Amino acid sequence: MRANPSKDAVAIVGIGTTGYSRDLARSAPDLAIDACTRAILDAGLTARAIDGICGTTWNTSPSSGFMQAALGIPETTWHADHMVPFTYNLVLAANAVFAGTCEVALVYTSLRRLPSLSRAAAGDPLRQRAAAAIPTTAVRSVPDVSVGYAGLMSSYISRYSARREQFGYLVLNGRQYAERNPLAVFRDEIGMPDYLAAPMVNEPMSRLDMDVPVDGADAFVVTTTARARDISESPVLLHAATFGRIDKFRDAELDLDRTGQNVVSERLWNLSDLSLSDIDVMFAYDGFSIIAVTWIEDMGYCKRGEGCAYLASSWEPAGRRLLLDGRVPVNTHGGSLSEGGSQGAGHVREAVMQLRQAAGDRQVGDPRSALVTAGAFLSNPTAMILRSDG
Amino acid sequence: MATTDRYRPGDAAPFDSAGLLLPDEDLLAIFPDGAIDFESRAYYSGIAQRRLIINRCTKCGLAHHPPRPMCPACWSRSMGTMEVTGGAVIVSLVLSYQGMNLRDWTGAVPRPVAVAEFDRPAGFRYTAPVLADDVEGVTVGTRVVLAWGEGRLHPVPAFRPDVSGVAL
Repeated sequence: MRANPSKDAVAIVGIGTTGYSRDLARSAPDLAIDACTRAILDAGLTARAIDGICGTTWNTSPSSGFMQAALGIPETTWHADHMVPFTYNLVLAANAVFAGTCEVALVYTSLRRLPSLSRAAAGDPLRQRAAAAIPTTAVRSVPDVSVGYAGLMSSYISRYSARREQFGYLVLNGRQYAERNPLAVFRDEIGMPDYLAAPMVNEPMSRLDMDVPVDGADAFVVTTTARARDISESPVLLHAATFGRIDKFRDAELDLDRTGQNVVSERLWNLSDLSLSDIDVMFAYDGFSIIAVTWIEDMGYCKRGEGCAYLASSWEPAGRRLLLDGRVPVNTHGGSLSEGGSQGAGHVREAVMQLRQAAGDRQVGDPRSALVTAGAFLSNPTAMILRSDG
Repeated sequence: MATTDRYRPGDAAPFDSAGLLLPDEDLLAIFPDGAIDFESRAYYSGIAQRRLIINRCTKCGLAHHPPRPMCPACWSRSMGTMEVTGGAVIVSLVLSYQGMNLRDWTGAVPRPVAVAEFDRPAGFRYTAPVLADDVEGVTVGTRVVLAWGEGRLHPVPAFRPDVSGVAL
């Protein structure tokens, strides 16, 4: 066991969201303001109580400076703007709170469906202008990140003799929950024939294997657990969290033997008092379906290469859902594949709602601990364990 | 063994790329989106002349890619180059039917893009489109060789199936 000084020392006390849609016909700042005001109110606080703020440098999400002014937060002692997945931003804020650089931090992300990701969005002049402000990066040898992950899926399928319908269980599981999630963008029931008939984008990856570009925003308020117990009836504690990366780059990352996800898993379980069998609900990041399969493997439910068969054997036909280890529900908000491509914000928000017993008719019993993975192989894997207080 | 972005060149000799280097202004014009800088000039100069050149440490001989100014193994700042030639095997194959990978693409759909692993330096992986008349015949495991397509401003690295071992 590795020392974990911040274990259970920081808590999430507020959540706010706009929910996700293909077209909310509003600006990214407008969506961010909705999510942030709701999160601050959910925490029972006012703008004046916020002294730290963290934004996401992704998509069209507004900067932390813009948002501080927009929300009328008078003074802060800590701010940051960081790349997604959203767990990065949440952990940075928690660490700032733990270190005492600030006491109450607001963390948010705001997404807008980009013209480059959808033909319909490409015809929207306001979206084009908003996207034009996003800095471009140097040319990659992999033309586009979805091709990179499709490449991983191709390697995986050929190496481990996986079958496409086995990935389908992950997709159907999420959609079943999304049917009952008013925040989700895709809520229509689908079955395995629909999955198998979905149009290919980058074969072997079809449209249903790729997360949905959406408009929407999420925000969270984090503070010390001591303060959280004063202001919240149901704080959710950050028990352990880590990032993971290894020293290979780009094309060489298309490898399955040793990835940043393995680094994440080993460190997370080293930091935690809990073990996999203590986890009550699992959030397997599903920006692409292949990612979720490998997270289920890497966190320890099965070995590398066994994930697809494991999904098939974990399928509960009556509930149209996965139960890992015969017990543990997965992505109860629908995941990024059905709720919308939130870069992990939706996964964290749903974990908080489940641990608060506030997930409505998606509530899966009385979970005490949630495992959230976010990001993946290609540079940005992270994971955290959240748990209810007491 | 896990792959890395560092490679033992095997019996491949160092390659002196000095004679290949194009003037910076030419590189910047030919590759408007390229990550052109001191340590990557040889790579881009090679692409412009249909040769795949990667950085190789002059001290310990280790090659790496993408181009960087220091050897990640011995921390030598003395970078030479080597030329990647010969055969490779496809380890990952994507067929693009729609999306960003088809932007500016005028050829047939689906467009095959492969990651192939070269024999020399062993384990060196490179991602490029596959030029093949018969896409159906291309799979993970297909042997390929480096080929060059025509881009608007410069040649484009590609693979084509290696038919040298096939009886006619």
